[in-house]
Amino acid sequence: MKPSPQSPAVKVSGLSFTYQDAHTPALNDINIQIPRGSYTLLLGGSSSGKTTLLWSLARVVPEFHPGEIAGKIEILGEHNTSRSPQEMAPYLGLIMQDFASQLFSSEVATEVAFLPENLGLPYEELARRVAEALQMVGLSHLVGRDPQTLSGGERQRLAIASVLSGEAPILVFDEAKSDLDPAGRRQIDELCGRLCRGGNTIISAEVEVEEGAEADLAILLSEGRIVAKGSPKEVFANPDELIRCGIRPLDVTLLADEGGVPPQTVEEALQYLKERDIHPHPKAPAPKSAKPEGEEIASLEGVSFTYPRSDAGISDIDLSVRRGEFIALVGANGSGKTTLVKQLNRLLTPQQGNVYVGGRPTSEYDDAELASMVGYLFQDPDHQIFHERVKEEVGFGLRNLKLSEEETTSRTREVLELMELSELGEEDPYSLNKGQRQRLALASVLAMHPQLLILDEPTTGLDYLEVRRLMSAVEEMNRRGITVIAITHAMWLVARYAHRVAVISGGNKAFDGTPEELFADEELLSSQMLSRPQIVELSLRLGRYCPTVEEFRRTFTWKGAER
Amino acid sequence: MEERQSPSPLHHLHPSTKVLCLLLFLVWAMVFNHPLYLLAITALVVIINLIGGSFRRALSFWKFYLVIACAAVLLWSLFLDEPGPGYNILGRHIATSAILYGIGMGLRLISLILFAVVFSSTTPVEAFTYGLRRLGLPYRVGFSLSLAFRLVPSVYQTAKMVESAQQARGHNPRKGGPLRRIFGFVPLMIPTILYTLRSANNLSLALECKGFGLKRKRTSLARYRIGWGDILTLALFIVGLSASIWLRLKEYGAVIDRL
Repeated sequence: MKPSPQSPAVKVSGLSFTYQDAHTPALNDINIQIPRGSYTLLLGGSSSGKTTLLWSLARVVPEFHPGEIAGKIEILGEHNTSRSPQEMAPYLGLIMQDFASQLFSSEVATEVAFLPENLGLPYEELARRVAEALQMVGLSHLVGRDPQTLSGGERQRLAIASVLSGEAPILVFDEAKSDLDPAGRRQIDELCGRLCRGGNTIISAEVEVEEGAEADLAILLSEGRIVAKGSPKEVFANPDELIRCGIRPLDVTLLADEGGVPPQTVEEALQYLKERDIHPHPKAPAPKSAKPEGEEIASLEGVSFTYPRSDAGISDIDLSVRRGEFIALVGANGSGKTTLVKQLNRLLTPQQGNVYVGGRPTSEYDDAELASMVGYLFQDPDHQIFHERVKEEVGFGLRNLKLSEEETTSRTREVLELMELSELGEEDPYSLNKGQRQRLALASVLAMHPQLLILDEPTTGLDYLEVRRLMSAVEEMNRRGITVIAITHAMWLVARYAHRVAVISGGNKAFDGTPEELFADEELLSSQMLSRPQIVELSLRLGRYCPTVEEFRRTFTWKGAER
Repeated sequence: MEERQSPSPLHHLHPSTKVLCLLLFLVWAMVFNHPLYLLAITALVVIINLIGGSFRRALSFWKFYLVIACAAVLLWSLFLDEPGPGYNILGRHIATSAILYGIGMGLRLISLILFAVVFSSTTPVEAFTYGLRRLGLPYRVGFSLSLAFRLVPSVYQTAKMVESAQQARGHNPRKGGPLRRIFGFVPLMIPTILYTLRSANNLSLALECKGFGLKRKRTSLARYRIGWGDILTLALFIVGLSASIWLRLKEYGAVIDRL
């Protein structure tokens, strides 16, 4: 392959692709042109075709995942048709979403060296590339470490370095930030910016839009077709379309008049609203009492836990959980959030301190009894699904509780209805999409009628529509009195759903209070690398606290507010 | 984060030396079947573990060694039909030579496991691949083989995660009678296998996209040199194995005339 210096980095003409055995095309008549040295944001919800499009550039489809392909793809001016994914490696680097399974070496340096070693480069060149790639992602100090001993964020950066070392002019990120905390995301964004300024072409697939996105081009995909294409400002300006495509829009774009040009940053929104004479609504409802004051349902007293041969864990943590509360746990990757909640259902037992559920120490419960008190939804539903039918999967926990068949059937029907999965009861769980599988996993936990529900990053990898469906079911259960503890990096979820938030940092509790108190504490937010959702930032600038756009509309009024 | 071990003299040996020593040891452990001789070989591997800094790790499997030893003695004593002096248990003649042979086999298996522990503790997966390649094995074969070893811990991690997820739904596979326990592992095995297959698929995709197998002549960041330590180690293994074969030919070191 001889790249032509004048041609665009990527040119796709009339591309369609249908996976083998699929009935509908994953991509349908895609036409795009991406200039060299540009930064392109590829947006789309689940099954929108983002990954397939990126794979087609790298020849993963149809070489690795066969199917019927039509149309033309030019990479640096050359058709990629006769290339294998291996042959594309020097020109196009692909960073996949599931970074954990991309790492296989026993040392950071050898992991990064793998790609250039495959290119047959001399030792001096290998050493230079490894050193530079590690420096770019800030991992130079970990050169001799075993990748398995790194934190999630470090491993993600290592996965990126292992592709950067190929020095391909085009870099493709497939939802590479989805597992990262806000600080990790920021680091990747900065890295992409640096790479772009250094002449690389960046294509990044995302399920979220961010304020001030530095991209040159944004492409919105839905059901394998391009729905919108243009500058981020142009594409973000249509929040309804973004929502339809499974993308959460920028909060402030939802404040514009029907047909008007919406603001996209907090500053623009302030200007926009001031021009329209914004003022507090005369009939604004009084702020609701944020915290349910039920009896204590669970507590941790001076709990410490350290993993064997490790410094990671939690130290001397106290936490009191009241019935009906919705508590969000936030903090950096590896800060101890999961370690903390696993104490509550005895998946981990504290080395120091006591854990109580329902007023009794957890050690006094048998496994099934504790599981019926404390439900736990794991981040990846595939860690638990094993039955051949959706219904049977939901009934698994109920059979462990030794409930009658009648009761099992009745509860199964009830939760499938709540999760909008009733029609899929006879289906194979593995035939469902990720969002449906996550709801199925939640259904199987809720069927056990837990009093306390723990959600461990439940929305990772889901698009906005799926997140809303999942969270509205959780909200409904919370309204019915189930206490919820949710681990999340999404601050908008904290603002929207939580009564209370705890910030975990380095295995300690750095903050415990209401979301309003957290978002008012500039110093804490900055030290914990947390940020306010746009609508919270905007409302605080206007002297009130509004966790959602709906609340903002109830609190303020302005000309043209009736959207 | 995981405890880091300071490199021992064995870490510095050339990978090809270590792979050759592994092959030589596989033969060496087969030469004798007398428990005393195999005890000496086991003691030698214990010393190698001490030098390699992996003794504590090797010792952590002591329950496993005990099971192997008991199973070996029991199986060979019962099923090896040998004449000669012995004991009559429940109407069945159990020869002393069969019991000794069983003890010997237990020691042979333990010594092999101990050697595997020190080898895996002192040889990174990339060094193993390099060593195999230098000994003439095609890169793809060597890489696949070493990758299989590397994936063992990640499969274990997946299995632990799956166990936690099922435990959170009140499932405990370690409860009940033997049959219930066997069926109790189904909810753990299916997600573990499917998750592992998915991860393996992602890994192979990542390998292809990183140019795996692109060039016939692949280069390496790792640089290994054959030193005096390698020559000495190989010489010790060759001399030890030759002497053992000579002893066996002179009819030493066997309770029964078989491997």
